[in-house]
Amino acid sequence: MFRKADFRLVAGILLLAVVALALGQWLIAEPPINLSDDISPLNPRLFPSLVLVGIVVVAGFFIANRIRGVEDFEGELEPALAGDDGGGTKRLLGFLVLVVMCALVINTLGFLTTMFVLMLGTSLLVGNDSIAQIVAFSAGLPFVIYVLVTHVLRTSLPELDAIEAVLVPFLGTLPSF
Amino acid sequence: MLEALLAGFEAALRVDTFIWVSAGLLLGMLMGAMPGFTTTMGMSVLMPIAFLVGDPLIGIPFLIGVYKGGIYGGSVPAILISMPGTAASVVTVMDGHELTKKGQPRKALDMGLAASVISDFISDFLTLILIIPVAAIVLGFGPPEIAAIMFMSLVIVSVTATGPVLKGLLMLGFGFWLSFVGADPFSAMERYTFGTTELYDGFHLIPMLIGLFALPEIFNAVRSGDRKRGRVASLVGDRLSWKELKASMRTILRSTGIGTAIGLVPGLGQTVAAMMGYIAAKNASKHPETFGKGEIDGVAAAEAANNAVNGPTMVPLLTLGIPGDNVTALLLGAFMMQGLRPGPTLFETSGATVFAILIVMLFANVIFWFIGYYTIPLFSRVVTIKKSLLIPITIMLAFTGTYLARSNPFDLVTLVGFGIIGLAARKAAFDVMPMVMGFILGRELEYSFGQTLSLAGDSLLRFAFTERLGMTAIVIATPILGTLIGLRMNRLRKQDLVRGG
Repeated sequence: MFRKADFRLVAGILLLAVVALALGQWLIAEPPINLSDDISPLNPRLFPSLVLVGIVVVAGFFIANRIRGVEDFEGELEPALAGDDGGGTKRLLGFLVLVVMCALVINTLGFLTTMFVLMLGTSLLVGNDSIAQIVAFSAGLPFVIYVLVTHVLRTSLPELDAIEAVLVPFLGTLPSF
Repeated sequence: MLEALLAGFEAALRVDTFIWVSAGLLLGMLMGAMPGFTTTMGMSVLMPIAFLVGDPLIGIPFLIGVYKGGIYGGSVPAILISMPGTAASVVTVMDGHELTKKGQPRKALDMGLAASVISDFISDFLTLILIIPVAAIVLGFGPPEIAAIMFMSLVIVSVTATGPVLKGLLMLGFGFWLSFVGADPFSAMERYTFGTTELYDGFHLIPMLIGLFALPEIFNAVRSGDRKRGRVASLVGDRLSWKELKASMRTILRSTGIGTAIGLVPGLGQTVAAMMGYIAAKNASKHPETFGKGEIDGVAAAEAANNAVNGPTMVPLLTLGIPGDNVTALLLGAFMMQGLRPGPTLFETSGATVFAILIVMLFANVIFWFIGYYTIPLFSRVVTIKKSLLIPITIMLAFTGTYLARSNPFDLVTLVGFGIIGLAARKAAFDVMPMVMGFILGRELEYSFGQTLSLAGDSLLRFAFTERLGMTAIVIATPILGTLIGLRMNRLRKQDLVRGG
């Protein structure tokens, strides 16, 4: 399992590097006019291309060593990843879907609702079986953080107008910092 | 340099700075005391707070507090439930938990605290002394030397990273390449942005750091689910007496020396220091047979050595921009987000601020003592908190911190992306530190190299061999040094694996 994991990661990086090298002229824009060496001493494509060639060479060595069967020693395997019941992978996939969804909807649903959903879903996935505790934590903590960030650090967080309208009278009673 | 030191002393004497250090120490101890929650994870999740407060004399000392507190906090579960809170506390388990079994957990925790604080104080003081001459030497460096040192830093970090050298180099290259996403530093032309405005400024450092360091821990915790923990021994037994502390002073000082020396060398870190300190104490003891069976000197040796590493890692970090481990890589990011670029120019541009931070770090040890002494009973309870309560809080903090960095929801998507990369890297035993270093220094290196080319004019070779011999020497020495260190590291790793079975 371990050997496959590092081979797959290296192959992924190699593929990315080859594609980026091949499509370099479309992915990196060139200045429309010639700039003097004092203004632009380096072509914007030079460093990325050098690094990508380096990645291809190193990844190539790595893969060639693996294919030739050169016995490189194995690094230490993360204990938590060593053994897994099928449920662990399902929980992880569920969690990934949850975090991606929350990342995409935070501006639409607002901070409090998104964090409520995120904390609620995570608590259930991790195995908390106390519904009262889950609801209290998922609703209470994001609210505390919201107040701290918007009222103490004076930084905005995305929130629905309707929820903000409900919160304004309460926030107005808090001492200002 | 001395003027900057004096100005730094004056700037350090601020009440708000010490309040934030205390908060950092408390949070660090809390994170360290929770089994499975590492100092790196705690620092990465709390880093946005340091960024938001905006003042380097608050933000950086806050994170240093988290660092110091986290390393000590890791010894609490190590002693009480034989489960190290951080990798640095692995050695503390040997005698610490044996003392708990003998009914003396309080004595072991007291010794851990005393040894940590004493060694931290001495090593921070040595750091302050050592950093002045090193900073004075590197102060005369210009863009060519800076570019050469960055090149050397990147190579050293890659070869000293966990795992084979090829893996380190590959991650370095990957991080380096990611740093090119966005506008080119000279002509401002777009690179790998796919025409989107979100990528024009490149990836932000905060989602990258939280994604690579904290999210994989959260993913692992979700995957493994909540596990029941054993009962925690109540804090019974005698407290550490002054006589016992005095008897262990020789061990503490020896371990402090070992930890300080190890901290100066990038890539070794607290775990190696703790092991070496422990072995040295055992060899020097009149009763080596008592080690591993509840010897109080064993706790002192391990804890003094691992905490003594904290301060000296700042010497290569601040003067050359080379972080010694993941935590100092995070500190490097924190410095840069506060507008301070560790490296040869740091002491020229912000000498007073940097000295103030180092002085705060020194005085923080006094606060560390008081907080540790009075909160040990509290942190001994923390080890029982359920993971199912902590993980949701941590993911919420990670999301909030990332969003606050620049109020851009796109950063949340990159956070998850970097989290997946971090998880894949862990699964394949790839160290992410070279990737972070490549990302942080990539554009800087390109910029310094461009400036060098501008200075060199028509002939870079003539410039290198006539005007900038220092740069040339570093560039020539780096591959040789990298190869030698890499071969040595590979040999050490192989030996370790053979020994480890």
